[in-house]
Amino acid sequence: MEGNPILEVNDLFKTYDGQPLLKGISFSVAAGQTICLLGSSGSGKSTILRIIAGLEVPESGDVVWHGRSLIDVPAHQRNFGLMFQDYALFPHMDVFENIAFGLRMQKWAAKEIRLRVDEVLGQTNLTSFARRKVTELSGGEQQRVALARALAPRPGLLMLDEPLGALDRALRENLIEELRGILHTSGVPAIYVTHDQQEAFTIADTIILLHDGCVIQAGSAPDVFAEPVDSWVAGFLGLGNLIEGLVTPLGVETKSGLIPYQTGLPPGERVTLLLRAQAEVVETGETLVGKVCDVVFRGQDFRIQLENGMHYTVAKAPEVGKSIKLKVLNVEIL
Amino acid sequence: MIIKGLRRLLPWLAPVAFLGLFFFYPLLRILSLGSNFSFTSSSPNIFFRIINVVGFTFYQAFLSTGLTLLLGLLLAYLFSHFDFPLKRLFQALTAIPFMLPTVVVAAGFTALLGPRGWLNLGLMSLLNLEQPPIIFVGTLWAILLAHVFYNSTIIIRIVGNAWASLDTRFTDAARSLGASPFRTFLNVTLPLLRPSIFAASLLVFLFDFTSYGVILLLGGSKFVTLEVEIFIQTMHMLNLPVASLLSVIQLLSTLIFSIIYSRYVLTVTNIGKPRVGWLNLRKPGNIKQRILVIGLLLCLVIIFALPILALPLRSISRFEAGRAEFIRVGPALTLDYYRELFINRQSSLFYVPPFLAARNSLFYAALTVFLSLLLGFPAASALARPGRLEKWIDPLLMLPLGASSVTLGLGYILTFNGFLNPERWQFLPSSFNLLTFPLLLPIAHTTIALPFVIRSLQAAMITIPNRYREAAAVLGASHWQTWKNIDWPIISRATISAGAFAFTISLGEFGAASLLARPDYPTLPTAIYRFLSQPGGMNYGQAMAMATMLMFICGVGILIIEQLRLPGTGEF
Repeated sequence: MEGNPILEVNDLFKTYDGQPLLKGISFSVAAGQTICLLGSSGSGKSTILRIIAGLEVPESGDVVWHGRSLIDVPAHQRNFGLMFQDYALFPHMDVFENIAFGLRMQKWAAKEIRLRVDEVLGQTNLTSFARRKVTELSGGEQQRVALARALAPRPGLLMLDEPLGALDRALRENLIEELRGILHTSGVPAIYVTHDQQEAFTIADTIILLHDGCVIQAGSAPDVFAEPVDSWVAGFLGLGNLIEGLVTPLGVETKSGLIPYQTGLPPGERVTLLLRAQAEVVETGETLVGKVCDVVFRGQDFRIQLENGMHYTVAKAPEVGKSIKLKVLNVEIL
Repeated sequence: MIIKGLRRLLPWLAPVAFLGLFFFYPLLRILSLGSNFSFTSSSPNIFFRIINVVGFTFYQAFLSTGLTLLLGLLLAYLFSHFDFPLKRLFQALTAIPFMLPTVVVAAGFTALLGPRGWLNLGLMSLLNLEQPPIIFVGTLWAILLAHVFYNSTIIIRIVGNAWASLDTRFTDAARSLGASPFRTFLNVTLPLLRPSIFAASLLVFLFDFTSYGVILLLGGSKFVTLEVEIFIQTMHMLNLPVASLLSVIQLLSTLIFSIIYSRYVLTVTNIGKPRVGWLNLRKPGNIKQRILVIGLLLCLVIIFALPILALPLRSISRFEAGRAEFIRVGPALTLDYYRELFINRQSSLFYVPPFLAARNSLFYAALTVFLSLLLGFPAASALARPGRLEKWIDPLLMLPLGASSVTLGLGYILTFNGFLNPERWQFLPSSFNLLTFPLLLPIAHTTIALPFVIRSLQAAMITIPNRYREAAAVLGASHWQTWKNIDWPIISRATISAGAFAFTISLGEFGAASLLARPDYPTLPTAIYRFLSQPGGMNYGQAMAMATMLMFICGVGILIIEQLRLPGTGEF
């Protein structure tokens, strides 16, 4: 990771209901960086945020901010922004008062508060909403108010806990771009928690993959995409088809056919291959075979589903129900 | 561990001690005295008297429930099917009586239909009669009408909600299959509404069964229900064992009805979610529908608005000259009745000018608010985060709802009469008796109000998700700032509303007051009762004036409660 880390999370352990939830989580965040904690639900992502925010105490491990341990600092003295999953907007305050809350807690002067809130309202395209009740806002508007509220006190670190989770698909795609822009211009380092790899790839400089209480892989989006460390990562990110096979002198023998890929491993070895989705339908050759059970036109190409559960994108549509031969363009060993 | 356990117990100490001493202990006294009662030791007449009383209690409750159901169903149909101007106002009008003190309702009906009421005065001057032509007070009709007036809102709300959310496709299907509108109602609508009709009727029956003030004030001496008989046996016959026996009968009946009701409501609420209510609404279209709507609204106004309007108007109109009887001087506006409240006409030692009753009532009500909030806050905040202890205590806290206030008054008489007599407590002055202690009544009122106060505070506290506190903490709020900015603003409405509720309950409470209020410390309701039962135009007028005052103060209380009520709470 480039730059000096401003936040270091060291070896966090936490159990929940007697089950280990976090088993030694460590990572760091550099100035101006957006990192994304990506994992399935129940992987402990939100708990990590709550520990960093000071809302929960780890059983062991440390959170270090600019070289200083935060373990004994209560939540309200950390000056971190946290955007809650369902926003937790205060229902008895209007938009302006919600956003001004953190500033009031820091005892800003009324005039300063107004200036800052106006500024943040502008940043989040909420200028005309200042006096609206938060209970009257749509999901997307609430999300922006929550973001504005978290940003207003100029937090040293912004944490977002599945900020788009409660919204529908179309809205999410619009808002993720907007969010990316706002995070970029504000320059605040951020930790973004999600279970959606598309969101993670869009927003993060660094992706941290969590599974079973551990950090499985950390790296930039292109790196993680290009080189998943194991089959769980490849499967979770939906990078392609995973298939097990036996190394032979000609390639790897799988239950769906021979894949002409030279592993460099001695014959007889069992391996897992990642077959990326791009493929070509071919007439002959030693290659993958399968029966087409579904074809979906996607504008540029076709996505085909085979009876053995694999799916590929091809340029020309085969007939449904026909057995075809496929040449997979990109094969990796995991 | 022990410290943690103690900390959980701490909020319960005061409420549990209070209810133990002022509810459960008096109740036990009644139970032990009532269950040891044997008929052999008393005259056989008692047995038949009790049978008669129980019989009449059921009889009037059945009749009242039937009539209430009739009117309630008609109005439920009106409100669930038609949209018309001022609808919310009309709906609110039907709900007002339910929250008015019984003495006010009785005074309202007397002002409209009593011997000195508007109708009789009008007929007398119109037909030139010497005597009031309509005899209303002291008849069964008075009791029934007052009960209908009181409880129709229960049917309107419960059945009306069910009716409004009834899927119209069922009735459409029936019509398309050839059923006439009447057959459709009989075979489709009614069976679908039956659960809500039954639940609402049971609730109305429970209220009619335990009715007290209405019977005592409007029924006169002829009609005696269980509650009234407890009062008579306690205050006039001084036969506390019989009164206790009656209380036990009363408690058991209430318990059985409540169990049936809560079981039934549980099964009813499990029957799927209805649709959005307004889909069935329409404006009255053809002439027939317009006549129906206007006719029903006219009925509604006559039954619900006239008694409420008659009272304040009667309190500022004078028909008689001086203190003489029925010498008509024609109607004239006057504030005499109000002025008279401040004058001690009888200049006797035991006579208390009525304005002192208002002062007592306000003082008691303020004390009730203070006590019930003081005890309610710790209990509600503990209940908002329930542990094992709270699951246990919760139903106990709600038990006072099941005991009538007359029973409570009887329990206090049994418990505190001589409880502090000088032989036991040498250091107290010999004249001291807790029963004559003027604070016993606000304590009784606190016992009655506490379950409501706890519930409404608890409901408000539960609505604050922990995330709000966490969000505040992350934004830099300390514990105190969080409480001040997040918890309090959200609870404060409920606190004011709960306080207004306790205030209104105490102000209008008549059952316990009729047993516990001493002659030298009357409350507004007991003073109204006394003035209504005394002859003379001036006494009548003063009763009207006091009832009007009580009505307006309670009206303000109700307004506050309704304005600040959390949506969805306070339903039956």
